[in-house]
Amino acid sequence: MTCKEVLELMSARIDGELDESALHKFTQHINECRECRNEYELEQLTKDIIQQVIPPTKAPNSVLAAVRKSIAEEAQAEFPVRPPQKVFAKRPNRTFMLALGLAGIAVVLFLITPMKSHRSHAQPVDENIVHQTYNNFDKVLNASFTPDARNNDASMFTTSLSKCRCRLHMPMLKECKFVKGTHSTFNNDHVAEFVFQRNSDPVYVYEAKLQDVMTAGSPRMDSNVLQSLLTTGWYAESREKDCSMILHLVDSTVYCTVADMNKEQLFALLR
Amino acid sequence: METMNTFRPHSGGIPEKHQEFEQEAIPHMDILYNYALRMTGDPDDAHDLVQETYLKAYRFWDKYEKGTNIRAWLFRIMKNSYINRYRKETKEPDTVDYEDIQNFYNSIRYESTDPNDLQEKIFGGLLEDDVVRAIESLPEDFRTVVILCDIEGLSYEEISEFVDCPIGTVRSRLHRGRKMLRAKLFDYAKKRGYVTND
Repeated sequence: MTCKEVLELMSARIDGELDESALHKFTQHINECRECRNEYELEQLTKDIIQQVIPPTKAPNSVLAAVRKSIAEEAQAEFPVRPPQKVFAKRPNRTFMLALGLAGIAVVLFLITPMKSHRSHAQPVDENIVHQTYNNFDKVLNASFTPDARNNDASMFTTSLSKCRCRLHMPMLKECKFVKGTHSTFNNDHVAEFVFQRNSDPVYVYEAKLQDVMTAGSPRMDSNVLQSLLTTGWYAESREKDCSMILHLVDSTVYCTVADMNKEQLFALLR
Repeated sequence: METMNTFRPHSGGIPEKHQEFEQEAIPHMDILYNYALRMTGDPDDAHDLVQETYLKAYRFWDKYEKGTNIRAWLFRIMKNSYINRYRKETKEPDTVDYEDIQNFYNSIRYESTDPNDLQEKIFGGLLEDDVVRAIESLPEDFRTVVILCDIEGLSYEEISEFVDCPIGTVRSRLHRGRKMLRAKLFDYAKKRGYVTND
């Protein structure tokens, strides 16, 4: 190899892009040619100093939020979404309403439970407040039952969230008192569940990362729910006047709130 | 709970596009942001550039061929946005004194065998600002390959796809780019009094 050839391959040598035979000839040359060796060492030093001094930075969260926002606006322009209230414009009969109310809760379950349990009628009896809510739906509605979550110490709860680095945090609801909270994982994705109380009415909040909800192997959220959430940031369902569920998106976190109050009252707590 | 079946997801439409975009395009944001930041030298400009890039990518998502290099595709969109918005007149390479550092290196090379020590002797205590400024001073073609290779860690093949040049061109631009850069850095180090070659 000549000096000219060595100079041409200099950067490839430094970046590990030479094949074995070229590398061999290159090494042989710089072992014998002081000038090329110096050039090689200087270029290596230059690359080293760039890498040492300029670490790759992460895109700030504000950039991610802005990107998601502009995409949502774009999607909205492409496919305007019918406001979810329209579903209830015509008063359906009571049985249908009951069914819809249950299906509303089912949306929550889509979010957080593995596929197999979607099909079963009763939800597992466990510490999942959504399961508990579902299994005791009538009692929850007349406030005779409050699903039990593990911890009623808010500070301990937030500490445990930060310890497991699950990127979730406790939501703050207006006029609501924190009662209990628990944190669990579904398919390795973190989920946090909370019980709040407004006067004597329980309010259930469940929180997950949008990414986790969207990248799940199976569709966990009904597509029209997801569409509404991604385009408007909101999704609401009501069971007549006494039970509502609202999903909303803050940055990249999905909050699902269920309470036995009407939609407007529930909206007021979240806005 | 039979009603749940009426709530089965219907397929197609916008949520799927969203989901694909979220899974495939969004994870490359850090690398795009880094590039934007180093090219524009300004966090606000980098923010705008990344946002614009993703919006365009979303608009033209159906033009992206599945299974091809998504990063290169996103980079190309960003490059076009960058050219349209930020590119000033093409700078000619500054005249730099390559001899100076070469001579200095010759004089110190055999006193020390430790590369860290050599780096210290040549570039002294240069700060991030100095290195950033030196990179920003490079003509655009050279700056692009240095950022992509040394900061972003892309392979030559990826860089060549991104800048739309043969690998040989990438190689020679990197060599020349680093050469200009080290002369600049040496210059700064001297001006700051970190090194003296009298």
